[in-house]
Amino acid sequence: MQTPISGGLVKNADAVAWSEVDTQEAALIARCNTGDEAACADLVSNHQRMVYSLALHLLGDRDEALDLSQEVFLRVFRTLSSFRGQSALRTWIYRIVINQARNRQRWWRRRHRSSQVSLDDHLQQFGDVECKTDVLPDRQLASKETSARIWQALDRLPFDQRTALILREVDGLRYDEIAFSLGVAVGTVKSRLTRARQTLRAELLGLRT
Amino acid sequence: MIPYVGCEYAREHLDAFVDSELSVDEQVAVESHLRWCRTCAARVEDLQLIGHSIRLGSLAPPADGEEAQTISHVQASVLIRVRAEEEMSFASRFRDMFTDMRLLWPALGATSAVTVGLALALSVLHSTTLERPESLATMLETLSDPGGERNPLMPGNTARYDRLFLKYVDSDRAGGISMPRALDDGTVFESIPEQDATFAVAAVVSRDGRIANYELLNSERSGQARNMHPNDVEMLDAAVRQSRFAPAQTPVGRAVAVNMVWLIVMTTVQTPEPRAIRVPPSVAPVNRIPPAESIEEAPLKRSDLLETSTTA
Repeated sequence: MQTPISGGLVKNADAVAWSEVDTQEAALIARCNTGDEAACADLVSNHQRMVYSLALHLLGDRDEALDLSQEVFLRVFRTLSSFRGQSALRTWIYRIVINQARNRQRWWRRRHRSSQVSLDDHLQQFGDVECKTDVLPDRQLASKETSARIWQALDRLPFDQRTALILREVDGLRYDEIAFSLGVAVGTVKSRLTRARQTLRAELLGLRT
Repeated sequence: MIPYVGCEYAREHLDAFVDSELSVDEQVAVESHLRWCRTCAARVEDLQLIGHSIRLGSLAPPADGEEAQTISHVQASVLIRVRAEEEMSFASRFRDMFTDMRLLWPALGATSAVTVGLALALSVLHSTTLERPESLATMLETLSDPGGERNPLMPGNTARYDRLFLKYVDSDRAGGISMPRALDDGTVFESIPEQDATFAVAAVVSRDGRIANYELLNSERSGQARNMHPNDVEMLDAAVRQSRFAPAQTPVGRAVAVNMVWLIVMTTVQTPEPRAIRVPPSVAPVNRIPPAESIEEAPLKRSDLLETSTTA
Protein backbone atom coordinates (compact mmCIF):
# COMPACT_ATOMS: atom_id res chain seq x y z
CA MET A 1 0.00 0.00 0.00
CA GLN A 2 1.33 3.38 -0.94
CA THR A 3 1.74 5.81 1.89
CA PRO A 4 0.33 9.30 1.37
CA ILE A 5 3.72 10.90 1.69
CA SER A 6 5.58 8.56 -0.58
CA GLY A 7 6.11 9.09 -4.26
CA GLY A 8 7.74 12.48 -4.36
CA LEU A 9 11.16 11.30 -3.30
CA VAL A 10 12.53 10.04 -6.57
CA LYS A 11 13.40 12.85 -8.92
CA ASN A 12 13.91 12.42 -12.60
CA ALA A 13 17.50 13.06 -13.68
CA ASP A 14 16.22 14.19 -17.07
CA ALA A 15 14.14 16.91 -15.49
CA VAL A 16 16.95 19.40 -15.98
CA ALA A 17 16.58 21.21 -19.28
CA TRP A 18 17.74 24.31 -21.13
CA SER A 19 16.24 26.35 -18.34
CA GLU A 20 19.11 25.14 -16.17
CA VAL A 21 21.43 27.35 -18.17
CA ASP A 22 20.82 31.01 -17.50
CA THR A 23 21.04 33.62 -20.20
CA GLN A 24 24.45 34.90 -19.18
CA GLU A 25 25.91 31.42 -19.13
CA ALA A 26 24.34 30.57 -22.49
CA ALA A 27 25.89 33.69 -23.99
CA LEU A 28 29.27 32.72 -22.57
CA ILE A 29 28.97 29.25 -24.11
CA ALA A 30 28.01 30.73 -27.46
CA ARG A 31 31.03 33.03 -27.41
CA CYS A 32 33.32 30.14 -26.52
CA ASN A 33 31.96 28.13 -29.43
CA THR A 34 32.88 30.95 -31.79
CA GLY A 35 36.47 30.81 -30.56
CA ASP A 36 36.38 33.93 -28.42
CA GLU A 37 39.50 33.61 -26.29
CA ALA A 38 38.28 36.09 -23.66
CA ALA A 39 35.12 34.04 -23.20
CA CYS A 40 37.20 30.89 -22.81
CA ALA A 41 39.30 32.65 -20.19
CA ASP A 42 36.14 33.67 -18.33
CA LEU A 43 34.78 30.14 -18.42
CA VAL A 44 38.01 28.74 -16.97
CA SER A 45 38.19 31.46 -14.40
CA ASN A 46 34.63 30.84 -13.24
CA HIS A 47 35.08 27.12 -12.75
CA GLN A 48 38.76 26.43 -12.12
CA ARG A 49 38.50 26.41 -8.32
CA MET A 50 35.54 24.08 -8.42
CA VAL A 51 37.27 21.72 -10.84
CA TYR A 52 40.53 21.73 -8.94
CA SER A 53 38.80 21.17 -5.62
CA LEU A 54 36.82 18.18 -6.85
CA ALA A 55 39.86 16.72 -8.59
CA LEU A 56 41.87 17.12 -5.40
CA HIS A 57 39.20 15.37 -3.33
CA LEU A 58 38.93 12.52 -5.78
CA LEU A 59 42.65 12.03 -6.39
CA GLY A 60 44.18 13.39 -3.18
CA ASP A 61 47.25 14.87 -4.87
CA ARG A 62 47.72 18.53 -5.76
CA ASP A 63 49.93 18.03 -8.80
CA GLU A 64 47.62 15.40 -10.18
CA ALA A 65 44.64 17.64 -9.47
CA LEU A 66 46.25 20.54 -11.36
CA ASP A 67 47.10 18.31 -14.30
CA LEU A 68 43.62 16.87 -14.30
CA SER A 69 42.11 20.35 -14.18
CA GLN A 70 43.91 21.30 -17.38
CA GLU A 71 42.78 18.09 -19.05
CA VAL A 72 39.22 18.74 -17.96
CA PHE A 73 39.10 22.23 -19.46
CA LEU A 74 40.66 21.02 -22.69
CA ARG A 75 37.98 18.38 -22.81
CA VAL A 76 35.35 21.02 -22.07
CA PHE A 77 36.44 23.19 -25.00
CA ARG A 78 36.66 20.20 -27.35
CA THR A 79 33.11 19.09 -26.56
CA LEU A 80 31.42 22.36 -25.70
CA SER A 81 29.75 22.48 -29.12
CA SER A 82 27.85 19.31 -28.20
CA PHE A 83 26.55 20.80 -24.95
CA ARG A 84 22.79 21.22 -25.37
CA GLY A 85 21.88 22.64 -22.00
CA GLN A 86 20.72 19.27 -20.69
CA SER A 87 22.08 20.38 -17.32
CA ALA A 88 23.71 23.36 -15.73
CA LEU A 89 27.16 23.99 -17.14
CA ARG A 90 28.64 23.40 -13.70
CA THR A 91 27.04 19.94 -13.49
CA TRP A 92 28.22 19.10 -16.98
CA ILE A 93 31.77 20.03 -16.05
CA TYR A 94 31.48 17.95 -12.88
CA ARG A 95 30.62 15.00 -15.06
CA ILE A 96 33.78 15.48 -17.11
CA VAL A 97 35.91 15.80 -13.97
CA ILE A 98 34.50 12.58 -12.57
CA ASN A 99 35.04 10.65 -15.78
CA GLN A 100 38.61 11.88 -16.10
CA ALA A 101 39.32 11.20 -12.43
CA ARG A 102 37.83 7.72 -12.64
CA ASN A 103 40.21 6.87 -15.47
CA ARG A 104 43.21 8.16 -13.54
CA GLN A 105 42.60 7.01 -10.01
CA ARG A 106 42.42 3.32 -10.86
CA TRP A 107 46.11 3.03 -11.40
CA TRP A 108 47.37 6.22 -9.84
CA ARG A 109 46.05 5.68 -6.33
CA ARG A 110 47.75 2.29 -6.09
CA ARG A 111 51.13 3.71 -7.10
CA HIS A 112 51.13 7.07 -5.41
CA ARG A 113 49.20 6.44 -2.25
CA SER A 114 52.28 7.21 -0.17
CA SER A 115 52.57 10.70 -1.62
CA GLN A 116 48.99 11.70 -0.97
CA VAL A 117 48.25 14.69 1.19
CA SER A 118 48.23 14.00 4.89
CA LEU A 119 45.03 15.28 6.38
CA ASP A 120 46.77 16.37 9.54
CA ASP A 121 49.27 18.34 7.51
CA HIS A 122 46.49 19.98 5.62
CA LEU A 123 44.58 20.90 8.76
CA GLN A 124 47.74 22.30 10.33
CA GLN A 125 48.38 24.38 7.24
CA PHE A 126 44.91 25.77 6.64
CA GLY A 127 43.29 25.37 10.03
CA ASP A 128 39.78 24.31 10.90
CA VAL A 129 37.74 26.72 8.85
CA GLU A 130 34.43 25.32 9.99
CA CYS A 131 35.10 25.48 13.74
CA LYS A 132 33.67 28.41 15.53
CA THR A 133 35.73 30.39 17.97
CA ASP A 134 33.37 29.76 20.85
CA VAL A 135 33.92 26.01 20.67
CA LEU A 136 36.15 24.62 23.35
CA PRO A 137 39.64 23.52 22.27
CA ASP A 138 39.06 19.91 23.31
CA ARG A 139 35.92 19.83 21.19
CA GLN A 140 37.90 21.22 18.26
CA LEU A 141 40.54 18.54 18.69
CA ALA A 142 37.89 15.86 18.87
CA SER A 143 36.29 17.20 15.76
CA LYS A 144 39.60 17.11 13.92
CA GLU A 145 40.25 13.55 15.01
CA THR A 146 36.77 12.50 13.97
CA SER A 147 37.19 14.27 10.65
CA ALA A 148 40.53 12.57 10.05
CA ARG A 149 39.06 9.13 10.76
CA ILE A 150 36.06 9.82 8.57
CA TRP A 151 38.30 10.92 5.70
CA GLN A 152 40.44 7.83 6.11
CA ALA A 153 37.34 5.68 5.89
CA LEU A 154 36.12 7.80 2.98
CA ASP A 155 39.37 7.14 1.19
CA ARG A 156 38.74 3.40 1.42
CA LEU A 157 35.28 3.60 -0.09
CA PRO A 158 34.65 2.56 -3.69
CA PHE A 159 35.14 5.40 -6.15
CA ASP A 160 31.48 5.82 -7.03
CA GLN A 161 30.32 5.92 -3.40
CA ARG A 162 33.10 8.32 -2.43
CA THR A 163 32.35 10.59 -5.39
CA ALA A 164 28.62 10.70 -4.62
CA LEU A 165 29.29 11.58 -1.00
CA ILE A 166 31.83 14.29 -1.85
CA LEU A 167 29.52 15.83 -4.43
CA ARG A 168 26.76 15.89 -1.84
CA GLU A 169 28.61 16.97 1.30
CA VAL A 170 31.43 19.13 -0.08
CA ASP A 171 29.98 20.54 -3.30
CA GLY A 172 26.36 20.54 -2.12
CA LEU A 173 24.89 19.08 -5.32
CA ARG A 174 21.30 17.91 -5.40
CA TYR A 175 20.49 14.28 -6.05
CA ASP A 176 19.51 14.91 -9.68
CA GLU A 177 22.71 16.85 -10.28
CA ILE A 178 24.77 14.05 -8.77
CA ALA A 179 22.89 11.57 -10.92
CA PHE A 180 23.71 13.53 -14.07
CA SER A 181 27.34 13.96 -13.04
CA LEU A 182 27.75 10.24 -12.43
CA GLY A 183 25.61 9.22 -15.37
CA VAL A 184 23.30 7.10 -13.23
CA ALA A 185 19.70 7.19 -12.00
CA VAL A 186 18.66 9.15 -8.94
CA GLY A 187 17.78 5.90 -7.17
CA THR A 188 21.34 4.70 -7.69
CA VAL A 189 22.64 7.90 -6.16
CA LYS A 190 20.45 7.35 -3.10
CA SER A 191 21.63 3.79 -2.63
CA ARG A 192 25.29 4.79 -3.02
CA LEU A 193 24.92 7.57 -0.49
CA THR A 194 23.18 5.25 1.94
CA ARG A 195 25.88 2.56 1.64
CA ALA A 196 28.67 5.10 1.97
CA ARG A 197 27.12 6.62 5.08
CA GLN A 198 26.53 3.22 6.61
CA THR A 199 30.22 2.44 6.23
CA LEU A 200 31.25 5.78 7.69
CA ARG A 201 28.76 5.43 10.54
CA ALA A 202 30.26 2.07 11.42
CA GLU A 203 33.64 3.80 11.54
CA LEU A 204 32.14 6.50 13.73
CA LEU A 205 30.67 3.96 16.13
CA GLY A 206 34.04 2.23 16.29
CA LEU A 207 35.66 5.54 17.14
CA ARG A 208 33.31 6.04 20.06
CA THR A 209 34.00 2.63 21.54
CA MET B 1 -2.66 16.86 9.90
CA ILE B 2 0.78 15.33 10.21
CA PRO B 3 0.76 11.71 9.00
CA TYR B 4 2.22 9.08 11.29
CA VAL B 5 5.27 7.19 10.05
CA GLY B 6 7.02 4.29 11.71
CA CYS B 7 10.71 3.57 12.19
CA GLU B 8 10.94 1.39 9.09
CA TYR B 9 9.69 4.14 6.82
CA ALA B 10 11.71 6.82 8.61
CA ARG B 11 14.99 4.90 8.35
CA GLU B 12 14.55 4.51 4.63
CA HIS B 13 14.25 8.27 4.32
CA LEU B 14 16.78 9.51 6.86
CA ASP B 15 19.47 10.15 4.25
CA ALA B 16 17.10 12.14 2.08
CA PHE B 17 15.89 13.97 5.22
CA VAL B 18 19.43 15.00 6.13
CA ASP B 19 20.04 16.09 2.54
CA SER B 20 16.74 18.03 2.41
CA GLU B 21 15.65 16.01 -0.60
CA LEU B 22 12.22 15.11 0.75
CA SER B 23 9.03 16.87 -0.14
CA VAL B 24 7.56 19.17 2.48
CA ASP B 25 5.04 16.57 3.65
CA GLU B 26 7.70 13.90 3.95
CA GLN B 27 10.09 16.25 5.70
CA VAL B 28 7.44 17.17 8.28
CA ALA B 29 6.43 13.54 8.79
CA VAL B 30 10.00 12.35 9.38
CA GLU B 31 10.72 15.32 11.63
CA SER B 32 7.68 14.53 13.79
CA HIS B 33 8.89 10.94 14.00
CA LEU B 34 12.29 12.08 15.22
CA ARG B 35 10.70 13.94 18.14
CA TRP B 36 9.74 10.76 19.91
CA CYS B 37 12.10 8.14 18.37
CA ARG B 38 15.49 8.43 20.04
CA THR B 39 17.02 5.68 17.86
CA CYS B 40 16.23 7.44 14.60
CA ALA B 41 17.21 10.78 16.07
CA ALA B 42 20.60 9.33 16.98
CA ARG B 43 21.03 8.06 13.45
CA VAL B 44 20.29 11.52 12.09
CA GLU B 45 22.84 13.06 14.44
CA ASP B 46 25.42 10.56 13.20
CA LEU B 47 24.64 11.37 9.58
CA GLN B 48 24.93 15.08 10.28
CA LEU B 49 28.21 14.52 12.10
CA ILE B 50 29.55 12.57 9.14
CA GLY B 51 28.64 15.40 6.79
CA HIS B 52 30.17 17.96 9.11
CA SER B 53 33.37 15.92 9.43
CA ILE B 54 33.68 15.60 5.67
CA ARG B 55 33.26 19.32 5.18
CA LEU B 56 35.64 20.00 8.03
CA GLY B 57 38.38 17.87 6.48
CA SER B 58 37.71 19.10 2.99
CA LEU B 59 40.85 19.86 1.01
CA ALA B 60 39.23 22.79 -0.71
CA PRO B 61 41.87 25.43 -1.34
CA PRO B 62 41.48 28.84 0.26
CA ALA B 63 40.62 31.85 -1.82
CA ASP B 64 44.09 33.36 -1.43
CA GLY B 65 47.58 32.07 -0.87
CA GLU B 66 50.12 30.15 -2.86
CA GLU B 67 47.73 27.41 -3.89
CA ALA B 68 45.23 29.95 -5.20
CA GLN B 69 47.94 31.41 -7.41
CA THR B 70 48.78 27.93 -8.65
CA ILE B 71 45.17 27.39 -9.58
CA SER B 72 45.08 30.65 -11.46
CA HIS B 73 47.85 29.29 -13.68
CA VAL B 74 45.43 26.68 -14.94
CA GLN B 75 43.71 29.33 -16.99
CA ALA B 76 46.86 30.41 -18.79
CA SER B 77 47.99 26.84 -19.39
CA VAL B 78 44.64 25.80 -20.76
CA LEU B 79 44.39 28.76 -23.12
CA ILE B 80 47.89 28.10 -24.45
CA ARG B 81 47.07 24.48 -25.10
CA VAL B 82 43.75 25.34 -26.72
CA ARG B 83 45.52 27.77 -29.05
CA ALA B 84 48.17 25.17 -29.82
CA GLU B 85 45.54 22.57 -30.63
CA GLU B 86 43.80 24.91 -33.02
CA GLU B 87 47.05 25.60 -34.79
CA MET B 88 47.97 21.95 -35.00
CA SER B 89 47.89 20.81 -38.61
CA PHE B 90 45.75 18.03 -39.85
CA ALA B 91 48.83 15.96 -40.61
CA SER B 92 49.97 16.20 -37.00
CA ARG B 93 46.58 15.15 -35.76
CA PHE B 94 46.59 12.26 -38.18
CA ARG B 95 50.01 11.16 -36.93
CA ASP B 96 48.85 11.41 -33.35
CA MET B 97 46.04 9.04 -34.10
CA PHE B 98 48.60 6.32 -34.69
CA THR B 99 50.85 7.03 -31.73
CA ASP B 100 48.91 4.62 -29.59
CA MET B 101 48.91 1.48 -31.69
CA ARG B 102 47.14 -0.51 -29.02
CA LEU B 103 43.90 0.85 -30.37
CA LEU B 104 44.67 0.02 -34.00
CA TRP B 105 44.08 -3.73 -33.91
CA PRO B 106 40.88 -3.54 -31.86
CA ALA B 107 39.65 -0.86 -34.25
CA LEU B 108 40.51 -2.96 -37.29
CA GLY B 109 38.92 -6.00 -35.72
CA ALA B 110 35.78 -4.11 -34.84
CA THR B 111 35.59 -2.65 -38.34
CA SER B 112 36.01 -6.09 -39.91
CA ALA B 113 33.40 -7.58 -37.62
CA VAL B 114 30.94 -4.83 -38.49
CA THR B 115 31.63 -5.26 -42.20
CA VAL B 116 31.16 -9.03 -42.07
CA GLY B 117 28.01 -8.60 -40.00
CA LEU B 118 26.57 -6.11 -42.46
CA ALA B 119 27.41 -8.37 -45.39
CA LEU B 120 25.73 -11.32 -43.70
CA ALA B 121 22.68 -9.26 -42.85
CA LEU B 122 22.40 -7.97 -46.42
CA SER B 123 22.82 -11.44 -47.90
CA VAL B 124 20.10 -12.82 -45.62
CA LEU B 125 17.89 -9.89 -46.51
CA HIS B 126 18.57 -10.41 -50.21
CA SER B 127 17.85 -14.13 -50.08
CA THR B 128 14.59 -13.60 -48.23
CA THR B 129 13.37 -11.02 -50.75
CA LEU B 130 14.02 -13.22 -53.81
CA GLU B 131 10.72 -14.22 -55.33
CA ARG B 132 10.40 -17.88 -56.21
CA PRO B 133 8.23 -18.62 -59.26
CA GLU B 134 6.50 -21.53 -57.53
CA SER B 135 5.71 -19.57 -54.39
CA LEU B 136 2.15 -18.80 -53.39
CA ALA B 137 2.88 -15.04 -53.43
CA THR B 138 4.05 -15.23 -57.02
CA MET B 139 1.00 -17.25 -58.04
CA LEU B 140 -1.34 -14.79 -56.39
CA GLU B 141 0.42 -11.87 -58.02
CA THR B 142 0.23 -13.62 -61.40
CA LEU B 143 -3.45 -14.37 -61.05
CA SER B 144 -4.16 -10.80 -59.96
CA ASP B 145 -2.66 -9.46 -63.19
CA PRO B 146 -4.58 -10.99 -66.14
CA GLY B 147 -3.02 -9.90 -69.37
CA GLY B 148 0.51 -9.80 -67.97
CA GLU B 149 3.35 -11.78 -69.47
CA ARG B 150 3.02 -14.47 -66.82
CA ASN B 151 -0.72 -14.67 -67.19
CA PRO B 152 -1.44 -14.12 -70.90
CA LEU B 153 -4.98 -14.17 -72.23
CA MET B 154 -6.47 -15.76 -75.30
CA PRO B 155 -7.55 -13.34 -78.04
CA GLY B 156 -11.14 -13.45 -79.16
CA ASN B 157 -12.29 -15.51 -76.24
CA THR B 158 -15.30 -13.49 -75.27
CA ALA B 159 -16.41 -15.75 -72.49
CA ARG B 160 -13.10 -15.54 -70.77
CA TYR B 161 -12.90 -11.83 -71.41
CA ASP B 162 -16.26 -11.30 -69.82
CA ARG B 163 -15.44 -13.37 -66.82
CA LEU B 164 -12.06 -11.76 -66.16
CA PHE B 165 -12.36 -8.23 -67.39
CA LEU B 166 -15.68 -7.46 -65.88
CA LYS B 167 -13.93 -8.10 -62.66
CA TYR B 168 -10.51 -6.62 -63.26
CA VAL B 169 -10.84 -4.06 -66.01
CA ASP B 170 -12.81 -0.83 -65.96
CA SER B 171 -15.09 -1.77 -68.77
CA ASP B 172 -18.45 -3.42 -69.01
CA ARG B 173 -18.60 -3.48 -72.80
CA ALA B 174 -18.95 -6.79 -74.55
CA GLY B 175 -16.52 -7.96 -77.18
CA GLY B 176 -13.31 -9.91 -77.59
CA ILE B 177 -9.63 -9.16 -77.44
CA SER B 178 -8.08 -8.11 -80.74
CA MET B 179 -5.40 -10.17 -82.49
CA PRO B 180 -1.78 -9.03 -82.38
CA ARG B 181 -0.80 -7.76 -85.83
CA ALA B 182 2.64 -8.24 -87.36
CA LEU B 183 4.36 -4.92 -88.09
CA ASP B 184 7.40 -6.00 -90.12
CA ASP B 185 5.45 -8.01 -92.76
CA GLY B 186 7.75 -11.00 -92.51
CA THR B 187 10.94 -9.30 -93.68
CA VAL B 188 12.82 -10.70 -90.73
CA PHE B 189 12.40 -14.20 -92.16
CA GLU B 190 14.28 -13.46 -95.36
CA SER B 191 17.48 -14.77 -93.84
CA ILE B 192 16.06 -18.31 -93.71
CA PRO B 193 17.13 -20.46 -96.73
CA GLU B 194 14.84 -20.24 -99.69
CA GLN B 195 13.02 -23.50 -99.38
CA ASP B 196 9.38 -24.12 -98.88
CA ALA B 197 8.77 -24.61 -95.22
CA THR B 198 6.11 -24.43 -92.60
CA PHE B 199 6.69 -23.65 -88.94
CA ALA B 200 4.16 -23.74 -86.12
CA VAL B 201 5.22 -21.73 -83.12
CA ALA B 202 3.40 -21.33 -79.82
CA ALA B 203 4.26 -17.86 -78.53
CA VAL B 204 3.24 -15.18 -76.09
CA VAL B 205 3.01 -11.64 -77.47
CA SER B 206 3.69 -9.23 -74.64
CA ARG B 207 2.05 -5.90 -73.93
CA ASP B 208 4.81 -4.07 -75.78
CA GLY B 209 4.47 -6.24 -78.88
CA ARG B 210 7.50 -8.50 -78.37
CA ILE B 211 7.65 -12.26 -78.32
CA ALA B 212 7.99 -13.00 -74.62
CA ASN B 213 8.59 -16.73 -74.99
CA TYR B 214 7.87 -19.28 -77.65
CA GLU B 215 8.01 -22.95 -78.46
CA LEU B 216 8.47 -24.59 -81.87
CA LEU B 217 5.56 -26.96 -82.29
CA ASN B 218 6.17 -28.34 -85.77
CA SER B 219 8.25 -27.74 -88.86
CA GLU B 220 8.11 -29.06 -92.42
CA ARG B 221 10.30 -28.53 -95.41
CA SER B 222 9.24 -29.22 -98.97
CA GLY B 223 6.13 -30.97 -97.78
CA GLN B 224 7.95 -33.55 -95.67
CA ALA B 225 8.18 -33.30 -91.93
CA ARG B 226 11.72 -33.59 -90.79
CA ASN B 227 13.96 -32.34 -88.11
CA MET B 228 15.16 -28.81 -88.35
CA HIS B 229 18.78 -28.19 -89.08
CA PRO B 230 20.52 -26.48 -86.15
CA ASN B 231 21.26 -23.47 -88.36
CA ASP B 232 17.60 -23.21 -89.25
CA VAL B 233 16.70 -23.26 -85.58
CA GLU B 234 19.10 -20.45 -84.85
CA MET B 235 17.86 -18.36 -87.74
CA LEU B 236 14.25 -19.01 -86.82
CA ASP B 237 15.03 -18.07 -83.23
CA ALA B 238 16.63 -14.79 -84.34
CA ALA B 239 13.78 -14.02 -86.69
CA VAL B 240 11.11 -14.71 -84.10
CA ARG B 241 12.89 -12.57 -81.53
CA GLN B 242 13.18 -9.65 -83.96
CA SER B 243 9.51 -9.79 -84.88
CA ARG B 244 7.36 -6.90 -83.75
CA PHE B 245 3.62 -6.86 -83.29
CA ALA B 246 0.93 -4.36 -82.54
CA PRO B 247 -0.09 -5.81 -79.16
CA ALA B 248 -3.50 -7.31 -78.58
CA GLN B 249 -5.98 -4.91 -77.04
CA THR B 250 -9.12 -5.13 -75.03
CA PRO B 251 -12.19 -3.25 -76.23
CA VAL B 252 -11.23 -0.40 -73.92
CA GLY B 253 -7.83 -0.10 -75.59
CA ARG B 254 -5.74 -1.70 -72.89
CA ALA B 255 -2.77 -3.65 -74.23
CA VAL B 256 -2.61 -7.21 -72.93
CA ALA B 257 -0.33 -10.17 -73.42
CA VAL B 258 -1.91 -13.05 -75.33
CA ASN B 259 -1.17 -16.65 -76.16
CA MET B 260 -0.82 -17.28 -79.86
CA VAL B 261 -0.04 -20.11 -82.25
CA TRP B 262 1.94 -18.61 -85.09
CA LEU B 263 1.90 -20.44 -88.39
CA ILE B 264 4.79 -19.38 -90.62
CA VAL B 265 4.46 -20.64 -94.20
CA MET B 266 7.22 -19.99 -96.71
CA THR B 267 6.03 -20.74 -100.25
CA THR B 268 7.50 -20.23 -103.72
CA VAL B 269 4.83 -19.39 -106.32
CA GLN B 270 5.50 -20.28 -109.98
CA THR B 271 3.42 -19.57 -113.04
CA PRO B 272 2.14 -22.61 -115.03
CA GLU B 273 3.90 -23.73 -118.29
CA PRO B 274 3.00 -21.30 -121.15
CA ARG B 275 1.02 -22.77 -124.01
CA ALA B 276 1.87 -22.07 -127.71
CA ILE B 277 -0.53 -19.76 -129.40
CA ARG B 278 -1.47 -20.87 -132.82
CA VAL B 279 -2.50 -18.12 -135.15
CA PRO B 280 -4.19 -19.00 -138.49
CA PRO B 281 -2.03 -17.78 -141.27
CA SER B 282 -5.04 -16.49 -143.14
CA VAL B 283 -5.95 -14.10 -140.41
CA ALA B 284 -4.05 -10.98 -140.36
CA PRO B 285 -2.78 -10.22 -136.95
CA VAL B 286 -4.81 -7.61 -135.24
CA ASN B 287 -2.52 -7.11 -132.40
CA ARG B 288 1.01 -8.01 -132.10
CA ILE B 289 1.39 -10.81 -129.77
CA PRO B 290 4.76 -11.22 -128.22
CA PRO B 291 6.58 -14.47 -128.86
CA ALA B 292 6.16 -17.29 -126.44
CA GLU B 293 9.71 -16.96 -125.18
CA SER B 294 8.97 -13.45 -124.01
CA ILE B 295 5.93 -14.63 -122.07
CA GLU B 296 7.78 -17.32 -120.28
CA GLU B 297 9.36 -15.74 -117.29
CA ALA B 298 11.39 -16.86 -114.41
CA PRO B 299 9.47 -18.19 -111.42
CA LEU B 300 7.81 -15.50 -109.40
CA LYS B 301 9.79 -14.04 -106.63
CA ARG B 302 9.47 -15.92 -103.38
CA SER B 303 7.18 -14.31 -100.87
CA ASP B 304 6.57 -15.02 -97.25
CA LEU B 305 3.10 -15.32 -96.02
CA LEU B 306 2.37 -14.95 -92.41
CA GLU B 307 -0.72 -16.32 -90.91
CA THR B 308 -1.85 -16.37 -87.39
CA SER B 309 -4.35 -18.52 -85.70
CA THR B 310 -5.57 -18.69 -82.20
CA THR B 311 -5.60 -21.47 -79.79
CA ALA B 312 -7.67 -22.16 -76.80
